[in-house]
Amino acid sequence: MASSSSASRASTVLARLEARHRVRALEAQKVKSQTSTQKAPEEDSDAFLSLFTQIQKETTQNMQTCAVACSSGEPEAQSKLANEIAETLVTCDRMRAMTASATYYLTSFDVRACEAQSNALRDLAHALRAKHLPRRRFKFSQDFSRRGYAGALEHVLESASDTSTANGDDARTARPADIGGREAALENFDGGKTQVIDVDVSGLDATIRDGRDAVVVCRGRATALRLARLTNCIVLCAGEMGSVDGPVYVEECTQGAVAVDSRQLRIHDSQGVAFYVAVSSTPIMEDSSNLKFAPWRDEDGTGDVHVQDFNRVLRDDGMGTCNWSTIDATSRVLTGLNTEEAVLSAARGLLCT
Amino acid sequence: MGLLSIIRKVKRKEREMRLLMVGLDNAGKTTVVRRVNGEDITGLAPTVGFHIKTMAYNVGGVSYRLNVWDVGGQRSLRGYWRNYFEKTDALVWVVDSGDVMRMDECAAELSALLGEERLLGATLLVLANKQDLSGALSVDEVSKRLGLTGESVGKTRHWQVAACSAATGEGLLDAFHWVVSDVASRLYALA
Repeated sequence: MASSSSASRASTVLARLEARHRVRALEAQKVKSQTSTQKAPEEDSDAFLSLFTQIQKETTQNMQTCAVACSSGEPEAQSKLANEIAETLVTCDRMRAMTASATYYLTSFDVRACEAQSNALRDLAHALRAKHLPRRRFKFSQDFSRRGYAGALEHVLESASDTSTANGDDARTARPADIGGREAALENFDGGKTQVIDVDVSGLDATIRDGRDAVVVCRGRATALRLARLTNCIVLCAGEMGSVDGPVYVEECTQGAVAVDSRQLRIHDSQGVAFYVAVSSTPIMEDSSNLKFAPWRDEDGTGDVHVQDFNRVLRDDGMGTCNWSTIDATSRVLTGLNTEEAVLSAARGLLCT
Repeated sequence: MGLLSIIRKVKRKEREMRLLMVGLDNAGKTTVVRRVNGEDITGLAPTVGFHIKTMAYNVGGVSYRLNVWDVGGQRSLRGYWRNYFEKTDALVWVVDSGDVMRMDECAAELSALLGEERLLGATLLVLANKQDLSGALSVDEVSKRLGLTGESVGKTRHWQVAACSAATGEGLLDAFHWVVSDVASRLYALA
């Protein structure tokens, strides 16, 4: 009697357990199917790549249409092409920013392919500008020559083994002195808080070192850029002016500002420098203090930059002194400027303060 | 039988070897390790401290157990490298072949490392990584810039410079095959 009652109790318990297990299995299956179908569109690499390619194709097509109109001599075609090129360069920056924000789910190959696509677009824009639009003379060079700074500038260019043309238009553009292979250096200059030095860094591992109180504009696509022992210098290598395919190293620089568009940014032993960055990876700093960061392209002024400070990371408690900060939205003098003239004007203002 | 003998016996039985991955920051050490181990290489961040990976590696039908120590290469971390030298069977020095600017710094760090007494017997594999990048230096150029010659490396040390790309995986397995074979020929030839 007792055994039959215990058997029935056991079967009841087993039935209850089985029912509970079935409910749980159903719930688990439901959750699994939900998570498998809910793929965040922003983390879909196929969708990202097709959108990226579409942007590149449309931009290229628009620019080439304008270029064709320009060559056939249509009225106002030149100004249209100039606008299109300016827009394309902004689009290139956006494409790089898109790639940077998607690096955590794209494969390395895709990241490099995207970077190559945006670089190709930028190159095309520069090539079309060189072909169809005459190179402008910057207002600042005229100002300098009028104000008698040409002598000082020539000194700088001489020290940089100037290979620029002698026709006057490009007299400010210096090619850094070759120091072997594809490496080149611009060194030992003092801009007296007034000079703007153009440096053609295309295809070079360029080094700019031992300078002070000058605005240095790096034009073209450098393979790498090293800034060493610069005091109160504004170095511009972003946007329409130039970019760096590989890394940018900043060493022992004090004060001033650096605007760079590059794959990496590494900062050592520097103090009080403001960085406006468009980099694909997190900027890294070591043994530096009082650095400030802001994104190079930031239309609404709310963007920020995450920086990896190894001196802080290495402390056990992770609460070491913060050696960097984000530049206030109101103080981002080099952010969001669409024309080269505006950037140079802001840089010059920054140098004088 | 002492504890040390037991451990040695177990190590010999499992055909274990210890590989130390070093190189300047951003050389691609973690990517190399992950690629060799068949792991995802997206979203990597600079290594703070070190990672240890244990993986089985098959050479000529014999399985070896690799303990790979992947140590961060930031300047502030290089002082800690010496903590990982003990019992290292092979040293894998990873070079960013596209980073021409820091080749001198790379050469100086490698030279300092090769002078370390505790690494005297270790096999040296120099991986000229990032060959997929345009403008990357070739194996010969990397060897030249690092000053790698029989004398600088050490007359008794076995060494090789291999071109590879951790991003595409090209050349990696051949290089690891060589280093594992070389260590195995020293440690387990009679096993």
